[in-house]
Amino acid sequence: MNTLLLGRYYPGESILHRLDPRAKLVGGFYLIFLLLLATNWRAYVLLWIFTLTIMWLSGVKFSVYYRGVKPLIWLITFTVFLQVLFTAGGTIYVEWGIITISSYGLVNGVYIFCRFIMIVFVSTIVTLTTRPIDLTDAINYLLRPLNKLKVPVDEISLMLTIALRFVPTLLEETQKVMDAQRSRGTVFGKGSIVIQMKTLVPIFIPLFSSSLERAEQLANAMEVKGYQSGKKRTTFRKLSWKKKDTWCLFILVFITILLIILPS
Amino acid sequence: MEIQFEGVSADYQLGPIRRKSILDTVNLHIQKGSFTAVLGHAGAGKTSLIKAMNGLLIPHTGKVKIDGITIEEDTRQLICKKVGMVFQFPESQLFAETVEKDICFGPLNFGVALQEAKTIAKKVIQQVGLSENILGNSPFSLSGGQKRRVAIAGILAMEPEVLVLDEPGAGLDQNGKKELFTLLTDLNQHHHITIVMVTHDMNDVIDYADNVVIMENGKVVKHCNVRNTFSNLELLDKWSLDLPDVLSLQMKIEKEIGRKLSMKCFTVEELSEAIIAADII
Amino acid sequence: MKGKANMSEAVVKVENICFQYDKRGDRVIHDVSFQVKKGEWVSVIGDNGSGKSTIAKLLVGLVQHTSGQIYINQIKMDDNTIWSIRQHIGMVWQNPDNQFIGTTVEDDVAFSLENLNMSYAEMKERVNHSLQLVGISKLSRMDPSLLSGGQKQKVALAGVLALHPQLIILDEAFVMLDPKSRNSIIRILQELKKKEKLTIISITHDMAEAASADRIIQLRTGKVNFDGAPKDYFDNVCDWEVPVADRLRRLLITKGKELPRNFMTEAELVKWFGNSI
Repeated sequence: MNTLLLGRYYPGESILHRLDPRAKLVGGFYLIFLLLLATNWRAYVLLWIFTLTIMWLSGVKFSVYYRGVKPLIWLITFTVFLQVLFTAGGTIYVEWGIITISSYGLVNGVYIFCRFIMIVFVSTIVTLTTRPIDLTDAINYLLRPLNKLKVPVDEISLMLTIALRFVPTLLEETQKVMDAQRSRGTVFGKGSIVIQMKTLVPIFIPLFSSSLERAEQLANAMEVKGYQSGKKRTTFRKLSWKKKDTWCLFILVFITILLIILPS
Repeated sequence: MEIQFEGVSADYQLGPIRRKSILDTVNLHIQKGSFTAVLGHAGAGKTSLIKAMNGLLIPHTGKVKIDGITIEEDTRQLICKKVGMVFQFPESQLFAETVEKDICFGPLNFGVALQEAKTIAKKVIQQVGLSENILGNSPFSLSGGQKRRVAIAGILAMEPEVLVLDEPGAGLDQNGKKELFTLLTDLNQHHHITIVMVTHDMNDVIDYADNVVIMENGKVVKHCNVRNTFSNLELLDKWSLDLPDVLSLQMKIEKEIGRKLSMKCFTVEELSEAIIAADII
Repeated sequence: MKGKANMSEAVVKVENICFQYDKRGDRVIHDVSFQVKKGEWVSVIGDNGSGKSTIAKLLVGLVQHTSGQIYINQIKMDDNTIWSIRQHIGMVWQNPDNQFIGTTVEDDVAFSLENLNMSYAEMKERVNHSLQLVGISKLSRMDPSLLSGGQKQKVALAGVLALHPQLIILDEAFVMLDPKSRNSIIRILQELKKKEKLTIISITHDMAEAASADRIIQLRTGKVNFDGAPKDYFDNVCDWEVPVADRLRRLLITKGKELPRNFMTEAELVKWFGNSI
């Protein structure tokens, strides 16, 4: 239940949920890459069909996706607006100084709007259907080659894993400290910015202090359990690549081919 | 300070997590000056019950009244002062640069003048058994037991009429517990502060409380004096409650000798008398 | 490291160790010596400041003794041997959260095995077996934030057992638990100790737990004040520090009844009542 808060993981049993997180991560990035390259209406239609299909396959209600894009809608609209006003080409409808509203600009505006919305949807699909810990494992696997460049991938991955594990604990602790200070007369969320910042001090300091203590105790526990940074170790958590994950990549290749052969 | 619950039901909300009916139609009357222990299995609603007593949890149905005043959004602040709440491991709420500043935090929030707050700090630090010298130290330099006492002093500084505590003895050794409960008993008997305490330790209940409230699944299933709590042992088992050490020993002895003693014993003294009276040895 | 722990050899041998946090500081541990044999449950007790918590840290090398020797399984502890020594010691700390590293229960139990570079198959087998020993197999895929303190400590114990350790150290491991969870875990440990001949050192201030140990070591201001059987310890201790059963025995004696004159555990007292009627 608590994982619902971070990365907005939405538990489920859909085909998307059951895909290997590496496939989803690579697939998601690749799809966004394709979106950035699409230049004609046929490409966008194809990509829309594909995106909506996988959204449907994820088993998550559209309202959740909508909620994910809502906070960004103004930013996207603003960017689109700028595009429309400052791009000229084709039939010109309005001209006023440097501002031009043209057919080319309008069409481009629509494309960019679609592009942004779909990028948000695609990223949302990945985070909704993948547990944060699986994402971390996928990132760890994909960044492994960096080990050759002396980047401590495994250490960073372990740090991320432990941080994720403690998010619900920290949330609970924050709530507890807030309750305690409320009981001593603090009122949160009222007054000027300065006053509101001040009320956060009795929250941050205890949390900071307990986090330091926690870090020390965890480090001791890890040391006694034999953890040595840099030493080779096996992993209990396993990612298993299945046929459907390969199919997922094939489908992406197929889409790419379709996009290439589509007339402009 | 009387605490009254009238048909109270409440849900739990933390972000998107919602649990329904953590309090379910609670009707309860806690007498002024009593020392009440709140018992029940994990998740029974004990912490929610005490949170409702100081306005941290406002029910969606029913009313909680402290001395006749209903707890609502606008009376919350006032109630906070009257009903002091000590959370589990209260030392985790310490934050100020000095012990004195931390203790004064509460009173200052309620509009008490700085000089008066400092006077109160001197008084309460001694009440919890620490010396005035500690007022200038950083709370983070103290031992665990001292930190806990400073945290409690911070609540006492608001001069509450009711003290609500969530497992006050958690993590303390025998000595520490004894000192803490001596303080609570003193506050209850000499300063007439009503005490409500959530606990899992039956021995503390026997030794210090006069009343017991038992909760199960958000409902109050029993409210009686301490002795009557143990009148029906099967029910206790159903509510996942332990027996106090002396009673548990008595039952083991009774099982071994194949007969029951004249009464249920809660202190070693009582048990010794019952054994002598039964002429077993 | 193959420690030959035959019956007469000590699993732990501490000789004249001293420890202080810095050169100018006070000696926290002053010339402490003791031994622990295979299969013994030793309770280390003492007030706050007696040094009992430091002993646990010294035994796993989290801090280094400034003089004297520590032998675990006849291997002398020093910079070269500490990591291989740790492979045979399992430790459970006080705070259930601050030693729970894994993202799920079985993940956490496997952590120390991962550090040994163990194969997946062997890890899986050991994890399942340990969870079973402690009785929490059903919780194997649970997120720690959904567990109670008692359940988390059971996971910590399973993690220790998965190592097949020669020595288990409990550093006030039950202090933050409610009485029910505490008794449940102590019972599990006592049963396992009998079955698997575990060697346990428990830093504690729970007198009832100390009363049922094989031996008590009491520390006072960094020195060993007592090292022997619980019976001998409790016979010389005042009334309120003694477990309930013995308090009853003493009280009945003062009231003129004939009862054995030395310390009795609860089980012994109950049996005695049974025999006297």
